[in-house]
Amino acid sequence: MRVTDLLVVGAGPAGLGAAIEAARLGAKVLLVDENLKAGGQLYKQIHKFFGSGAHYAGTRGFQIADILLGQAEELGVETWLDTRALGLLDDGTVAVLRKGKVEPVKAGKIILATGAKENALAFPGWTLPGVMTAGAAQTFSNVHGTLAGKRILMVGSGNVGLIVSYQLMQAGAEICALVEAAPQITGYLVHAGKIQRAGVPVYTGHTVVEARGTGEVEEAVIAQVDERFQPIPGTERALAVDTILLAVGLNPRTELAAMFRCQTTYEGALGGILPVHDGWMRSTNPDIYVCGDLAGVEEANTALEEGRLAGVHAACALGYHGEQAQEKMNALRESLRSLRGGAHALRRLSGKERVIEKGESAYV
Amino acid sequence: MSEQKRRGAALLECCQEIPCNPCATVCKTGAITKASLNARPEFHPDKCVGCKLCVAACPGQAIFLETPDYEPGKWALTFPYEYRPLPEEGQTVTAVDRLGQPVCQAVVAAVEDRPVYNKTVLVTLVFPAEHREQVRFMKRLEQEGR
Amino acid sequence: MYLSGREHPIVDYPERKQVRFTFDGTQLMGLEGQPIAAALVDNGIRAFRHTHKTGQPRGLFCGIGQCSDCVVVVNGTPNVRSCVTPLEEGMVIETQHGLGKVGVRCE
Repeated sequence: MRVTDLLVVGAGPAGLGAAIEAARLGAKVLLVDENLKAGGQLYKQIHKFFGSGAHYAGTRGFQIADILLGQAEELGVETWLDTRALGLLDDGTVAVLRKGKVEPVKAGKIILATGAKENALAFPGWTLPGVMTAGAAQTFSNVHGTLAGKRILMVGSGNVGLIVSYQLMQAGAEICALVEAAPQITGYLVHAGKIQRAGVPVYTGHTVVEARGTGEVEEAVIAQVDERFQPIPGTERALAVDTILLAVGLNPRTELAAMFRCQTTYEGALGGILPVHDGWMRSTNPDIYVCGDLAGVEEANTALEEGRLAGVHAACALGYHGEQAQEKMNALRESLRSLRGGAHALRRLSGKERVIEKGESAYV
Repeated sequence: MSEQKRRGAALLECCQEIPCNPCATVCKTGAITKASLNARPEFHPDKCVGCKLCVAACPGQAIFLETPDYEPGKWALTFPYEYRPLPEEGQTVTAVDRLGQPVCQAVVAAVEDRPVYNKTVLVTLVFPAEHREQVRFMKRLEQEGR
Repeated sequence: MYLSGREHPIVDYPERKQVRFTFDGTQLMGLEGQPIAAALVDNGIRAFRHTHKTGQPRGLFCGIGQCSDCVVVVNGTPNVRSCVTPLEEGMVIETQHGLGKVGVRCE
């Protein structure tokens, strides 16, 4: 049995932020991640980030990962990779699977930063090899150096669809078209501008209706949609592509939180079902915090700030009161407010406010 | 022609409220300011010295450097270019508009790759001044063996 | 094709050692440490398994070990997630048909 002050599950931006801040205040932190490398999805983000200097704006995602991993190491955060948190045992310990063995971990507080998974989209032929998530192609190109497709149809004009299109072109693939069912581009127009000036046709009010091919994708059929997002017969058009990428949103990975009996709620703008939490990122179980995409799908910079907030609060709750802990938490909340302050984030902001309101009521 | 004019000035095409401020933080002369993180940037042309730091720093690649009358009747535009292969100085390329449509032929006047740009290369094209409203990028060059 | 050696504007891909492996008995070359799925894709292979009920082909889908669509049989062990399992010299990799035999060797 391993005993620690704080167990953090997931070493993406949220988990790293939490581990770093808690360790900074003196808490003994164990950080576990199921992957062979820490950093979560930051290593596949090769573009420069938005945000302010405090969120490493202008720095590329993989460079931010290097900075955070360096800080965690410097602060003595113990990190177990290739380690999966399986669930909560009856005695309140967390069972983790490490090197083929289950090891119980007893922690004063637990911070869940398990991230999100990409949504799928079902249409005839969608199970053919060559239909995959945008994130899969992004990981394979940017992290592993393998192009998962050469001639690509991108489905979805959110920031993921726009950025991944751009990055696959950087690696040498051709984006034959990008379709978006909504009547307008849903991601940042500056991201869209990058691929449009590189010649990618963006079809709004269109969706993919079929993937065709023998054994793998050889053709994609797109069609215009009506105001109820239904394909309009007669508008179908076939595109010769070998790959169809789905960038149709993400949803929080709530399995562990649910096993830990954290109360959940539904917020569409935040990705669907997610654990209720208060303004300090505490779930309805006072020993368990949630942060990052698990607590609502947003951006990497909001994930990092939420993680930091959870880390500081958890450390304080464990008795590690730093001198400026309260100021720091207030500053982090202000930072989160400002990251959600733009017109683009309105729906996310109101969703988050509802989640927090429910969370606060659990502590009245 | 004054040195100021010869060096050009930033051209901002940041069209949405986005929580982002590298343009303002990287600007050493106060030519770009933001009232808040989410406000659209404000540009003060009298303070711009044409250093191009904002062109490389903008995560949205929404800032250009425009040099009016670079040569008689010619305009120059500098933009971020993150593809390979890179064009070469003196090369003639196809200038394109915001939707990637060809506008005119242009000559590459500069290809700058400085450490401070963090892997973003800045390409400067020179083209007939009449196309200044359209030209924003260049047709990407084919990579051999693709 | 592995992007190493080709110019990428942002990423410096690491040099990797060439290793041999087999897929359904065919001798292939891959790179040590790359995910098995990447080695297969680099060799032009996109169907990694066939489904239990209808025998339809499946391949890479989520790319980060969450969906299990890309599982293959590695050295006799079924249900190995090819997208997160590093390639090693001499691996015997096979298309997985159905759910994989229960009770076979498990490390």
